[in-house]
Amino acid sequence: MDEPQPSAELVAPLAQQLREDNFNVAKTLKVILGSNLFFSDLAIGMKVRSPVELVTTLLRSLNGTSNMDLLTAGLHDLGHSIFFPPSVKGWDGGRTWINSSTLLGRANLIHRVLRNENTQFGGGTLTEYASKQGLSSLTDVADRLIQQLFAVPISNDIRDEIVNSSTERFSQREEQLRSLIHTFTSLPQFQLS
Amino acid sequence: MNLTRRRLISSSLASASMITIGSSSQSLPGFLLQAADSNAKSDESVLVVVQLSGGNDGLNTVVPFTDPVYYNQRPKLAIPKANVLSIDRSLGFHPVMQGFAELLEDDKLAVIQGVGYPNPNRSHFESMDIWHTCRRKSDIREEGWLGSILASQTEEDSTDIPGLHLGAEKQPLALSSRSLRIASVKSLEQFKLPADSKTLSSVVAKAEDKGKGGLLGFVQSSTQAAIRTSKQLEEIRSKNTSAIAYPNSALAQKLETAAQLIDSPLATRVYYVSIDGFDTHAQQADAHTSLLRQVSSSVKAFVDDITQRGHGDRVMVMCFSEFGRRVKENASDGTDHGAAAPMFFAGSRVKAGIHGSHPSLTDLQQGDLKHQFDFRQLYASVLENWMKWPSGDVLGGQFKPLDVFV
Repeated sequence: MDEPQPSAELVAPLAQQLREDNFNVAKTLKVILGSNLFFSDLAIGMKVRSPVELVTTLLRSLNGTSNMDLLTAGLHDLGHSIFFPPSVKGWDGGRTWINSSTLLGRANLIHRVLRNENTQFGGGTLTEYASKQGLSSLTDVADRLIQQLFAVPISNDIRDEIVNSSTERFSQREEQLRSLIHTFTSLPQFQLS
Repeated sequence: MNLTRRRLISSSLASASMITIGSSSQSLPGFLLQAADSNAKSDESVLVVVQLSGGNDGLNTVVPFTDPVYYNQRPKLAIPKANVLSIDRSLGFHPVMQGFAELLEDDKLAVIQGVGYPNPNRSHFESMDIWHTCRRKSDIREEGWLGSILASQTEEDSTDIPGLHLGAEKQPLALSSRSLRIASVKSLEQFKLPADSKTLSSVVAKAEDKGKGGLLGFVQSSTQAAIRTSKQLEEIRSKNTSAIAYPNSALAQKLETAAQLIDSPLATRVYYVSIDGFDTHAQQADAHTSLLRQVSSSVKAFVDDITQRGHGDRVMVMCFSEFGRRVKENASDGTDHGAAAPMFFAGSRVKAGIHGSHPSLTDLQQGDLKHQFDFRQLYASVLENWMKWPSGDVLGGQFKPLDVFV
């Protein structure tokens, strides 16, 4: 997580554990993942998705594949050149991923991915994928996205507004689905994990 | 610096917002008024850096046409006295630099002679890094001079875009900062939002943050700012065409974009563009002529444009190159890496004219021109006198600003 920064008292027992295990991380990780704090508001939705996380989370959740050149170039434009960190420290991450140009860049990249001819979901179109998954209405698809991709809850009010907008703007099912996914992934909530 | 990581991160909020109101008298759209924040910033000074990459041949840019040594050392490449656009009795611009000559005539151009630094390095990369960071290779240099100053000047809760690099090339090190990410923009198309922005605005506003200053609140306000920026730039694209005809070159296009952005409600203070190709080791004459024509005519068009848009008094262009070239031409009708070279400042508030004397062509340092001004003195002028920012430790020492602005 990016914030808030854990206090020294919180870190101390973990550091102790790590030292005792001779820097074998498994046990320490188990403590972290099993703690109440890990499932609290202090941790959930407290991390900004990096550009790579943003795109791969979306594609993986929909069993998607896409054009690697498009992804690599798009991620590079968002400041995430894979295998080429800006310094030995890596990427600063957190809030530094977010500004006007990167937010629009994120929305644009997902837009391009959704419309790229090499992008497939479960080997087919979004419409085919949704029907295979038994998601018959746009609301079903929206509910699935919310359940799988959002650490921060999305109200039914917001969901319905997006579903209505996608239905009104487009008549074709595939376009409706693209518009729906695009709007959901442009939400501030989707930038967090 | 006694900064916690948290503070460092939060001081780096780098999103844009429409918090300024442009000077145009058109009626303001509602969303703009809503977003108009406490202080209008449209009167703040703006710096536009034009980087001439590769090492510009200063001697054929500002020509010492009365110096016999110049003609002796450059039998093939010297510009004949009859062709120069004379500045005074001993100096003249390269014949294609009509734009710079006109700017000078209008009191809008300052030529700073013999700019460099001690123990000059003749590697492009190393010398450029020195210009970008004000540090030598042996020093720690993670930040560029502009990235560092922008990070220190950007307020914690700011939602502006503090600086922009316009161009498809790698972002210059000058703009890098540990805590602030400066965007590189290839074209304004990048700011287009391919979505139903009305619905998006409406649902974004409905995000509920757990507390003030929380992460979601931050992303939410950044997204709102991004949507506003996009809408605003859409309007700029559709109606904001320049009345000035820019020359047909990549540099001119970038400068035209910069002019459009400066004339928008963006509060960006630093724009950075570059033009490559100045490494003229062979067959210099034609290539250098073309490059100087582009620089001179593009900067001239930009200054005219920005003046016509009503921002003449707050915008200044700084042209620099990582080094000049040797006095003596080489055997391939070119010139090799040198040291000191002129810098140019353009705008209506520069102290127009020639600053300093032309470097001697006989009193050399390893065959190269000696510098009389350290480039960090000029940076000090830019930061302290133009931007009104304390230069702090950005320059890596105390440098006396040169008096180049009115």
